[in-house]
Amino acid sequence: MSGHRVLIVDDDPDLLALMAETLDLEGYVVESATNGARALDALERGMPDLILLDMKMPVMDGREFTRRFRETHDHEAPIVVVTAAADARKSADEIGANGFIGKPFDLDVLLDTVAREVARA
Amino acid sequence: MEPLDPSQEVHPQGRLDADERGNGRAEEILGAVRFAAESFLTSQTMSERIDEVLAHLGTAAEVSRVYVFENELAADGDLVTSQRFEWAAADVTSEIQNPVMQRLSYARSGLEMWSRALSRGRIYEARAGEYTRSELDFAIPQHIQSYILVPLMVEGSWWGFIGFDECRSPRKWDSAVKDALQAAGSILSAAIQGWNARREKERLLERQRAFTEAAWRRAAEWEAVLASIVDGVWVFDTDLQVTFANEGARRIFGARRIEDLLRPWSEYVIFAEIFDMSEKSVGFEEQPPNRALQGHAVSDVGMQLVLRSTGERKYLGVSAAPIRDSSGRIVGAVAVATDRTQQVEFGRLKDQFIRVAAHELKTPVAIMKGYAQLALRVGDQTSPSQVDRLRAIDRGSDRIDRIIQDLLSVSQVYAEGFTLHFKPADLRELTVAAIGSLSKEAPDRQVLLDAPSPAPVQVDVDRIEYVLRSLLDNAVRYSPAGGPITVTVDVEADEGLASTGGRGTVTVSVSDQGIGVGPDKQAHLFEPFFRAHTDTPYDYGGMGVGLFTSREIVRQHGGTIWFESKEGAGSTFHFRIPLGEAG
Repeated sequence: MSGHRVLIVDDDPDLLALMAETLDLEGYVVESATNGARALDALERGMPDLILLDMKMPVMDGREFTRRFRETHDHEAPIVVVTAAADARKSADEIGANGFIGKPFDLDVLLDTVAREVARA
Repeated sequence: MEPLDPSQEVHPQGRLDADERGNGRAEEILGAVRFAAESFLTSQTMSERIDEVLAHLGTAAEVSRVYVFENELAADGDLVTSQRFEWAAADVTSEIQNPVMQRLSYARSGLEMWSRALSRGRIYEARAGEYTRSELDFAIPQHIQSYILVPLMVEGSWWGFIGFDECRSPRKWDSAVKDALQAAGSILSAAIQGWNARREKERLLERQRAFTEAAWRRAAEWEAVLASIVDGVWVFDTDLQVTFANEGARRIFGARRIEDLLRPWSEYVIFAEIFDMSEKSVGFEEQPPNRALQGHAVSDVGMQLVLRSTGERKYLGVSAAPIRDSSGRIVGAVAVATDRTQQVEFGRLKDQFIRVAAHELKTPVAIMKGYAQLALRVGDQTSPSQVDRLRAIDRGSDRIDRIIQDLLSVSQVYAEGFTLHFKPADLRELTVAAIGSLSKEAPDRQVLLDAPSPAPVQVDVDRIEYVLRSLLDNAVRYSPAGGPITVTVDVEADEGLASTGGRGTVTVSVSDQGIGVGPDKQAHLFEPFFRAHTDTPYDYGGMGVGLFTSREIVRQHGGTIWFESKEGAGSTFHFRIPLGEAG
């Protein structure tokens, strides 16, 4: 179907697996990373069409990942924040993300948001 | 008055002798007067040397008795006089113990001729053969042949008299003697005036001493009170010099000794930096003591200190008031500070706990919800009963999520409010959408919508959705018997109304025909965690924060929220916010 590449960055393995499986079922090519540093490594293997980014992670959090990503890759891939923060919109605004999804979310919301952002990119 | 004179018969020869004896005594009398003057000068009180003086006078004038009477007003206003001192010659009886000589009424004893003369500052004299009937009543028992009374005038008023009795013969007082006796009276009058002044001064001093002592005692009491209270207390003079500080004040500023605090307020920067509760530095003029000196009372204003010595942060509630003298002039200020550091820190800890707990709960809820939905999505081999179970997990996750949202909202309200993301929206559309999602959750409920016109507003969409959802949820929850829920969106565009910027307002009202709220509960509806139907058959769960949070959201949109409710008949909740075009 889609064939778009999505990089999912989240330190919770269950949630990571949930998102990966959901997107995989819809035909996305999914790559996973459990923190910002691993996500930067993953970028070495190719630029995704969209990054789904958790904010609070060990080793390197979403904010620091975004800063470094922008340094080297500018806005090559849109970033959608997936966060449990009290104010998800604020978290997204603070790092200049393209969108946000608050946890917990409906899978429909996840799929709609991803579809919209890859279509725009 | 016809004079009666039995004494003339008693002592037919006495008169001539007396006249001769009286003459030539003036010099001796003046000597005694001089002695009197010297004695009185060195006396602290009248009684100290008066007996000596009277004896000298009596001896010098060769009389039988010398005495001093003092006037006073009786309770009924009658002028009475009492014998205070007396000297009596060896051959006559003393009358000082005679009760008749105490509180003797001039008017009632027929002695008006005394008071008439004496009160005008004139000498009164009489002798046997000329006595009135009432004079005889005195003269005969005391064997008085003649007497002379010299008025004592003190500060212009008649104080009493000094009198001289002659019991040996009806003596005629010659003018030189009378002058000398008058001089004695004047000396005594002046002395009495001096003694009175001294006594008055001593009484004033005594009063002042008593007053000073009372003031000291009161001050000591207050100092003890101020020292023992936990709050910090400062007293300032008009130059903002601290003139008093207590132990609580020392603790707050972390000073070593209370004495270190007795310095100009402007120097307190050496102890700490002063901020308001929003971390802004407070200008010197705006600090509570300064405000108080300008005549403003400050009541429990939140302030923060950062101590320079330890870097410690303290939260205070500060009150201050001017101190005024009896004429209302400001003569200083007093400030009281309550250390709320522990409370504030506990509050922060609680908010932080709620935030962290809520945050940590969200991920597991997301996993539950997500996998339930995923299982439904890929459910080719899912049985109908399994579908129901998965949906129940999904709904349960949503309920947990609501609770988390509620907790976060309350903690946000308390921790300096929300961050709102305003953007243009149509409140009518938002209302329609909220009713739509309600219908998904409670498909059997009938909702009537009356929204004739669009309602352009500038709002935080998520927050306003929360308000609409809270009001609709409550309407469903508390009308268990069913019955339609009526929602109106009423736009009042008012070009002329300046208070709305000439734009007008929109009011959303949600009515149910449910159980309503009793009058005793109505006042508490907007309080956090208040649940009107707790422990009643109508307790449908929930955190009791929907209305509390909604009110805060509406308030931050510049609007108001209110309700009418009747127990057993239903409730209507309204909120009104300003209309606002995009941009």
